[in-house]
Amino acid sequence: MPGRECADIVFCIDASDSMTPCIGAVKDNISKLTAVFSKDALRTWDIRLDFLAHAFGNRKFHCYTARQDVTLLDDLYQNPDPATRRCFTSETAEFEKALARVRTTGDEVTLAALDIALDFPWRPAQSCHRVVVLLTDEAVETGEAVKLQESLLPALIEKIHNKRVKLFIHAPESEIFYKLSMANGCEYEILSVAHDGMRHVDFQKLMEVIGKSVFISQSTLPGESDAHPLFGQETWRLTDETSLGGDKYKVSA
Amino acid sequence: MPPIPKTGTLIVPENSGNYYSLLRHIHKGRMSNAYEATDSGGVRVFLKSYTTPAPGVSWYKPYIAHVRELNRRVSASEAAPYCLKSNTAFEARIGNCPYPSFFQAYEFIEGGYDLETLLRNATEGSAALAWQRRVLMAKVILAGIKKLHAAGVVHCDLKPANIQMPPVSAGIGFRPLIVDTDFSILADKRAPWHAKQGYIGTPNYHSPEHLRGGDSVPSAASDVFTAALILYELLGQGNPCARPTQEEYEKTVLTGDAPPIAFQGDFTAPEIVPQITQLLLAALSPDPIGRPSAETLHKAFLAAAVAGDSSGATSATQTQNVAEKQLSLEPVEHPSGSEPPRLVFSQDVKVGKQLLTQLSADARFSSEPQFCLSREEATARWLVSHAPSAKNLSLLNGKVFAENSPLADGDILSLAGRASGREALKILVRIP
Repeated sequence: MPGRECADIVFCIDASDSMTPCIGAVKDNISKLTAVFSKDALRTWDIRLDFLAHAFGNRKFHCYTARQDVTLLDDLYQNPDPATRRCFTSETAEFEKALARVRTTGDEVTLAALDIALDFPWRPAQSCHRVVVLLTDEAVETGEAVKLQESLLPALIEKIHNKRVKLFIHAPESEIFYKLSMANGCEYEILSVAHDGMRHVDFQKLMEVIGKSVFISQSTLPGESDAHPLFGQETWRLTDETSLGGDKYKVSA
Repeated sequence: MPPIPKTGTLIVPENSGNYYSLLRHIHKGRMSNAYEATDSGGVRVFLKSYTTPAPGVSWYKPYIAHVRELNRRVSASEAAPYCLKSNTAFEARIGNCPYPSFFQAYEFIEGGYDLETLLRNATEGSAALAWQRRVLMAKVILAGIKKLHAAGVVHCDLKPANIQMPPVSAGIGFRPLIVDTDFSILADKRAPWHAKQGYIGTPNYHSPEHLRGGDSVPSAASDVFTAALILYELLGQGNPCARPTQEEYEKTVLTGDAPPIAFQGDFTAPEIVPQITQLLLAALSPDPIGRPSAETLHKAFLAAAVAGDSSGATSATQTQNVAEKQLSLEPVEHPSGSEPPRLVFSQDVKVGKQLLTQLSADARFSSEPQFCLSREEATARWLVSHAPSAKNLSLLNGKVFAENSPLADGDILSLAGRASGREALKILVRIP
């Protein structure tokens, strides 16, 4: 009797303006992965999915997730009971419906978004693979708050280690991504053409890769589960601007 | 780790004149990407590019030293014929990345299946696995685990998928090879990743020591536990502890709730069945002290003869002795600074282009088969015969030789064109 393969997967998606030409392709391709799970009649997978589509502009952090009923940062950082945090869904229809709402705007703060994705409420790492897929068509160096993001790289790598998250980076060549890829288990696929909205990425292949990676041996340390925000995001406050859907947070300092 | 190398990329080890050219991506694992590659001598290798450990972790350099010591122990011991051979372990940079990462080049195994696939095919009815063959496989697998433990190595992640079965033309038709020793541990040293990363195992094959966490460290007894699960699959009713969820598996394993094995076939001496049954049950004890050693299990199985297994215990013992008196072939010339590729045989075999390609690009001049190696039981000598169907001649120490010519350590086998007489593919014979 085979055991069910267990994985929590978060797609950390750059939803800045530069992604406008390809955000549709990104959504379609991610949906190919979710289709695998929705057709899983034998229930060989025990999968929970989420995404964090993010953009930044005018000191506001704009984000979408799979759970439309959740105010992400409040749930992650203000909810005192980790067990009741409501990120992730096992319902592929819910995931796809939420993904379809994503709109692009502004610039990006990719590593801050990654930091938030790492704080999602994962299941224990000894029985469940924790995976973050970071998708962006811009180097960190061309986005916002570059110095702050670079200065927090060592802490971010340590956080990836402590959380026992496997990170896939799909991004252009970048010194900062090279450094980030020194995180254990990280796989960095360099986009051959930058600034083209990721139109050259074979998402089907990427999803196959993720599908394979979660089948393999796992270790028995539970991995950290507490949220440890590095960018001060626990102090960001929700605004009432909802013109693009998603949540918009005022970024302090 | 740095970017994933793509097909066609040249991987140049630091401080070495050698290089590897990636031909094909074979497999993506959680810890590494595996490729078919050729080295600078044109020899095909199985190249692993590691994502774990990445250079960013504190135990990266100690891990490389650990792997080198592990490989040294295996290659210098009687475990060598039972394990996939690592030719070299090295660091290399990929593309523009300023940081090197870790690679290992292994012998390339052509064809065959892993035990998981063989068992699945048998269950689905697409390829039967005879009872006699299953018992012989069990003996050889246990012999391999026993030898690995004698070399001071604990595998830690045994499972049917980690026992490769490349085909050979004699014996049980397969050569069981234990693979994925990358995160094996040394029995007398703390693993460099201890307390920083868990010990690698696979759901439904974790030993109790894997599951207890904390300071619990897998040991040879943990391999025995997992070996017993594999033997239940190979010879009995299937993995007795497998459960749909990790929590249920843990509960089953830690409470020692496994049933006795129900053998799929009969042994010629039924009186040994209770002994083996009891040993396998003990092997699944939650307490490692209560488990038999791999050597004890192996010894018990050597006494287990089945119909068609020509002489029972004697035959099994002979099988083990043959494995211990192996012959190996390696190229006379190979790039300096690296271990030569090697083919190891412990039973009669037809050797041709398919196998010789692993030693040299000159194998293109050989036929399938080119020559036959056989072992003379009465004298314990290895004999060689030219295959009459071969296009080019086989030479022994530069001369045409008679059928069943005895081989000695240091002999050189080669090929020669029938018309030109030009000699190629010089292979050194090693008989310990």
